[in-house]
Amino acid sequence: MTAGSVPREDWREEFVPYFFGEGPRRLYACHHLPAVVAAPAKAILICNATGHEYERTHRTLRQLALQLARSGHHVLRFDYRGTGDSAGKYAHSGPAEWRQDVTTAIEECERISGHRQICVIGLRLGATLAAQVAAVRQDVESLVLYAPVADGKSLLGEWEHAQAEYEHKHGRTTRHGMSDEVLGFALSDTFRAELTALALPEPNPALRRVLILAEQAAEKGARQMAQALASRGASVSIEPVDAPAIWRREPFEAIVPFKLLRRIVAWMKEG
Amino acid sequence: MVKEEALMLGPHRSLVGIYTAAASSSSSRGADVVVVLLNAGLIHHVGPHRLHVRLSRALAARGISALRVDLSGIGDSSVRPDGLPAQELAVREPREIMDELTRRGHQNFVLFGICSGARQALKAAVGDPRVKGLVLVNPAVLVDAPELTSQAATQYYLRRSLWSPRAWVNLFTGRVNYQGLFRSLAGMIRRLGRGGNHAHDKPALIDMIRRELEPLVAQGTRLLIVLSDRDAQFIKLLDGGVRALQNDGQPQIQLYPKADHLFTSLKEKAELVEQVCRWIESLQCASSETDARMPRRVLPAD
Repeated sequence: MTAGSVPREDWREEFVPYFFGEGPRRLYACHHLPAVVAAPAKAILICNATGHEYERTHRTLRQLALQLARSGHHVLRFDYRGTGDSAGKYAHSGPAEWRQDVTTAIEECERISGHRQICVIGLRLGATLAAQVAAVRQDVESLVLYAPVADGKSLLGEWEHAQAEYEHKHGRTTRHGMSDEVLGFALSDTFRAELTALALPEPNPALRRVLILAEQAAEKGARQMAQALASRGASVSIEPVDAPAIWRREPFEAIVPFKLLRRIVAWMKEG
Repeated sequence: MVKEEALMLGPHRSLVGIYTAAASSSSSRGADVVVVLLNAGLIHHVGPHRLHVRLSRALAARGISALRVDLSGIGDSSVRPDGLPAQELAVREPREIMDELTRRGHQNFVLFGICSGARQALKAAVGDPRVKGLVLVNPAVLVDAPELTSQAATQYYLRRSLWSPRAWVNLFTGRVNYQGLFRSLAGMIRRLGRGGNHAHDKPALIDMIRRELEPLVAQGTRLLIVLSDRDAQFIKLLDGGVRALQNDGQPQIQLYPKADHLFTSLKEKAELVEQVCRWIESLQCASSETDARMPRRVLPAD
């Protein structure tokens, strides 16, 4: 780590992959260390997308962590239980368990950074989970919600459509909406019910700033989410996602929306 | 409960790997192997649809340790500072990982790879006697024959589409790539006009694949080749099919014609995991029998 606001030319990223927590709640994480000692440095937690969207967006969120660490922030990426390298099976987990994991990860982020207030960035369902958890805590000062899911039913519909397309492409004939998996990940009745009942986050006065990066098609939901969060004084801005929907693209395409990542890094500097 | 540890590997400590320790010591069997799972293309070490996690944990439950790893610039791993070309790294990095595991006391390895990962595994294994087994899932090596591949693809898609009502609806409502379809059909008619096959291509191709696998067989590396989707169709086009590539049952070739390239479906993924676990268990048993008969070879310290 060097003093000043710009890392040295020969800066190489420093990060530590590790596990935290115990037993069935043992979670995998990567702590990206700040490249420079720069004020105001923040502690930032990144909440992944889930299911097949997780592997499609992994590269982008890793790049985001790298860019944020480069500008002087502590960044923690982690996998919810049943996803990525964390303990457990996907079929045994869902939004309720993942909200608990976001809570645990917020505490872990504070522990490793020494900060008492943190920022949380979430993508897709991860954004919604982040907002829901932030709503009931006093230590989340800002949120970036990247293509948040305001309506669980639409997400479920989109996933079922993707599965139906996949089955058609591969000559299979499960009835639309009746498959118990989505592109390689289990879809239980409990999971369906939890997604369908997904609620908008509650307003919380501890939250100062929110940036919502909204997909054009989901703008209405983003506005509803913004209204919910702004009603207790948080400054909420909505900007369009001016980039491909990476969660709908295959990982081999390796698309990273750098312009959008730069916008998030700049927004972090603003507040 | 599975024990997993995150490691930083390689000479620059830039490669991230997750080591899953065998649930119970199987040292009484003598020749424990560690399975190293390489990236499937650009998908990070978790594997396509979490396949590598599932396989690592299933292996650990059967007493076999595994390491799923990200090579340079993929997944959680950084780009290497030495700027070596990707082609060189494809061979070097799996070996560097094995070196590291050798320093930790492991001596025998199985390399597992899907698609380009299988290709890397194959290249890294040649000339490295520590590699006792290779599991190659849809390795690119078997489809390096454009005309035969195209023939396999045409047959694959036509066979599937012929019985799909939706495909017929698509055909008559303009939702197909007519140019591509006509090109495929024209190719098929041309081939029929020439007698229906490429007898002159096939022996050369079989020979090419055999030549690729020969050094591995010679050094005693056992092979399991798993083919699905178009790759499974391709192998059926060879005269003699799977048997054309085998000599004394080696390599073992398993076909999953209904599975897609990355084994997305949960059912087929479970079948693949079971198949690979059983094969590695049998390989481990065979190795320990050989070890019991032969003096243990000590590898030079790295």
